[in-house]
Amino acid sequence: MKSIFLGVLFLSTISIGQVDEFKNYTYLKSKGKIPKEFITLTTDKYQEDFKDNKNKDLDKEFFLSTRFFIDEILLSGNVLFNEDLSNYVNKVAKYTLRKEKGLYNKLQFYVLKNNSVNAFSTDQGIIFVTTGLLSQLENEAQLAFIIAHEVAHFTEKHVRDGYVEKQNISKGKGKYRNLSYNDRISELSIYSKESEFSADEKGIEFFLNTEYDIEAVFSSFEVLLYSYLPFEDRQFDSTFFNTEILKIPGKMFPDTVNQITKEEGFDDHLSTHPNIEKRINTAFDVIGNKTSKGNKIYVIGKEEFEKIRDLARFESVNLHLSDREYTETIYNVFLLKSKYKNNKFLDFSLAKALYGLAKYKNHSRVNEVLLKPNKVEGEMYRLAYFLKHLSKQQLNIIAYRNIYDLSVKYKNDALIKRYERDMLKELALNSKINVEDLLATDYQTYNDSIMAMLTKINIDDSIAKIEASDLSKYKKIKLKKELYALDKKRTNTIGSDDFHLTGLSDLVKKGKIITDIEYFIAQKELEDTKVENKEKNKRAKAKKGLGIKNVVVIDPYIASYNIKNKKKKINSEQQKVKVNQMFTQDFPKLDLQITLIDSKILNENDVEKYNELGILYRWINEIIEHESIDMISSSNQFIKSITEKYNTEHFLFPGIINFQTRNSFTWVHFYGVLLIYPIPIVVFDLLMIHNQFELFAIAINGETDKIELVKSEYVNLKARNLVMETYLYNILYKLNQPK
Amino acid sequence: MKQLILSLNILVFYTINSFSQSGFLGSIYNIDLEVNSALITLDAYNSTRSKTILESDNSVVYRTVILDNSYRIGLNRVLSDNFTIGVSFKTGALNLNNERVRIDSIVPSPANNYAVNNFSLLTDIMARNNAFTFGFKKYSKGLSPIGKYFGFSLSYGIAKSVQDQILYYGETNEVDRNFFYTRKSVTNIGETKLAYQGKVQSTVIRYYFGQTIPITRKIGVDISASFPLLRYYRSAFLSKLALTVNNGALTLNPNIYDENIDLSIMRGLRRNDGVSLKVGVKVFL
Repeated sequence: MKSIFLGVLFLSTISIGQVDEFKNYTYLKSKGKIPKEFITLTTDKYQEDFKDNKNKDLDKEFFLSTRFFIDEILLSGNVLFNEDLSNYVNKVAKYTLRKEKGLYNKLQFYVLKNNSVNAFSTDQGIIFVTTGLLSQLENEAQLAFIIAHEVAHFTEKHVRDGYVEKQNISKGKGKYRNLSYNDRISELSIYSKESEFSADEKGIEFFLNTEYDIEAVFSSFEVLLYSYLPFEDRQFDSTFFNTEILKIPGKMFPDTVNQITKEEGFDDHLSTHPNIEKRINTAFDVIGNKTSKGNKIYVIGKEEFEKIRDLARFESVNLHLSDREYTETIYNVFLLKSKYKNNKFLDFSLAKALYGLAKYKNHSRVNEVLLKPNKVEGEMYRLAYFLKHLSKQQLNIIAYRNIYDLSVKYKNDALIKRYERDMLKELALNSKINVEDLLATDYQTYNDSIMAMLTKINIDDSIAKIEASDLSKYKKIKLKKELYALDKKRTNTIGSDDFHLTGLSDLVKKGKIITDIEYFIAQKELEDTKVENKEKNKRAKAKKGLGIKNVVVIDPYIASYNIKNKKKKINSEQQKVKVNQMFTQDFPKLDLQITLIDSKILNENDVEKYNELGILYRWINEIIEHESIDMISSSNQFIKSITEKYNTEHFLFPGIINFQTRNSFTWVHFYGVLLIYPIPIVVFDLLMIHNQFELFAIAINGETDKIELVKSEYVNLKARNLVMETYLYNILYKLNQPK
Repeated sequence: MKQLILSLNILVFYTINSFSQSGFLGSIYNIDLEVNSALITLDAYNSTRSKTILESDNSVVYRTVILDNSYRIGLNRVLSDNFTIGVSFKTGALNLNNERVRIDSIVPSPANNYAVNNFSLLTDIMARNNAFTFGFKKYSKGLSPIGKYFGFSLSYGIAKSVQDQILYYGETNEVDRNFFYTRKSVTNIGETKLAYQGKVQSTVIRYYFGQTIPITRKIGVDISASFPLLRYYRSAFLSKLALTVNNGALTLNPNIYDENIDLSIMRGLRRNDGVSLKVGVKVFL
């Protein structure tokens, strides 16, 4: 009895623990110590690679470009290590490769936070699996095969060979000498596909040494085939947005959807990967009569796999939100809510998506963030269609209803309250809704009253009366038009145009919402009358500073390009290191505390900073995409903890791009040539290399998501360290100056 | 003019609150230490500047000097991201055209009481030019005070010859001439004292362009070239060179003298205020 009791207690603890994990979900983050790979300078790693190279066909450029490419990913803040997903992938990889002596130890496996369904390996043995891929998988065995495939790319040195082959093709060496340009492109595509077949073949070899079911090889191809669709294809529930008060008519959703058209034998002529049909056929040939050592689809564990997959799916919601993919966000939330019904993260994400949609709709930019229904296949089509056909007022009401209900549910959440206030303001000022149109009656009562009224009206009789009257021709036409419209309304199912008018009936009844809306409108009118003064003040303010005393500088972007517009990677990194030193020293003449978070100065204990970088990059990208739309970013809640940690809400993202140009031939040069004597000056002027750099900086307030400073300037000077420092100092000065 | 320069100087020091800028890493003020070199120019009188060396009792060499150097120290203030203003003091030894200076020796003569003999000057008449300058720069490429700039300056100066200089004179005959020097034989060397002082006031407006390159956080290099837009010289009086020998009474006749010290100073100034190249050190405060 006691053991049963303890067993139940233990199991319930586990399940509660799991529920808690998703209940308090925020975002995926790395943990523990940062791997050495991340904190070694790229230049140092490149030099090691090149030193150890024995292949004469591989030039410096190969090692440079691969190392810098990898580091861009590693240092993006979006790579997961030492946490659940990456640990799981490592477990599966370790098991899959357990028969290959020492191979697992040569490799590093990471998970990349990205919605694309992808996995890729590098020449250095780093293998990335995206969260997009993890969210789509059906079982652990499929992950094992994909890992095996990617490991095969490494063992077969496809990256190296591919590079050499590309060089040969582009330079027309060897067998490619007499080929035309188009033929060479085809050859490149063929070579790439051959590598994929080779990786499949070798991957199957690894796979056959496991206990996984060989069927997973084929089913994983299907996962890839349909990876462009959401992780499930379930009919979208037309009552998903409905509440006790808000009722959306079902006829607003289409009855049919666009069929899924992707076929296994799609045209892969221009693709780097063979089509699925070919891969399946090749796999059949390779496998032949062989079998793996078992028929399991889980070795590490089903529970763990499902947890990992759900974590990846939860993260996909965050990623879609910050990428402003609101249709996908809502659909993914819908899919997840079937399992996680009462989840704050999902509820809040839905609210954010609706909020974002309403904002973009009000600012006539909704096409940037909505999927075009005709391009959507499968069940998500219903949602895409519905959202596309909502009017401004309808969308705003749905969004506000959702956010208001959330704010009531989570009374103590200040951020949700902020969303509620902002959405109400949006509704008041930008949705063009007529306050008088909002009804205090609920949907059913309203519907019934309309029907009752319409049944009382005898349309024919009324039209006859109008025609017999003394009204003018035009008044008669107008009245008859209104009667015909009413008649149409009676015959159609009522509610598709005005369901939203009853969507806030409980709040209208209480009265406060009308007062609030009127308050916002009055406030706006008052502000508008002061526009002139504002313009004058703006000009004066432009010369003043922002009065900031504490700023966090995020990963200055420094890049150098040569005259051929090719990035000087090593030089760029060295310059970045020097510019970083600038931000770590004191400026006695500035009353400004500067904290630098930079990808090149992390040490192994800086995992928090690493995670912060990922969040901050996403945040700034989102703010920049929003442009002039004044809205709360989806990442705002994650930024809050960073602002508290560094005791400031001011973040600065600076960057400098150095480049070289030559003067182009103009009429001045032409006349110079004509005059003969200035020819040497003309030649000198045309040959002389001009050094320039572009300076940009954006300062954003983490509290309000408002852009506080934007600077973009072309400078016709060589970007010497002191020159760059001067310009960056100037920006800090402007931030620091009193208001 | 003095008042104008003074007012402009006050502007530099008392406009802090109106023009608050970052400067160079926080340095609003900077000090210039410059060497100006003016290329000699051939003026209408073909007065090649020379340095006179009395080699011996019977030989004098007039060496051609190509550059006139002067030295400047200035204080600049950053006004905005693109503008600085500054004041400076410039001083330099003026090199006068001594080869063409003729000295008239008035000697008693039985026939008409006095006779005039023309002698050549065998030593340099020393003169010095001191000037105050007010100028501004616009940084067309860069962030003041570093980068490439152009600007204008207004300067007011006074050039004076050194009083009571001992001068040697004598009769000369050209022996050898090339671009670098002219050698003349000398006889009847005499010595006299320059009793009076030549004085010329100058007002010059210049245009200049250049670049300031920071070397360290405190030091920068400034290279610029300039040319005059307007040069105005004024002399209170045209002082003459005249010598009495044998302690006779002296009568000055302005019509006799082709060359005089003020004119000589003016020509020296004009050369000095011609196209010039400056190299300097900038100290950021």
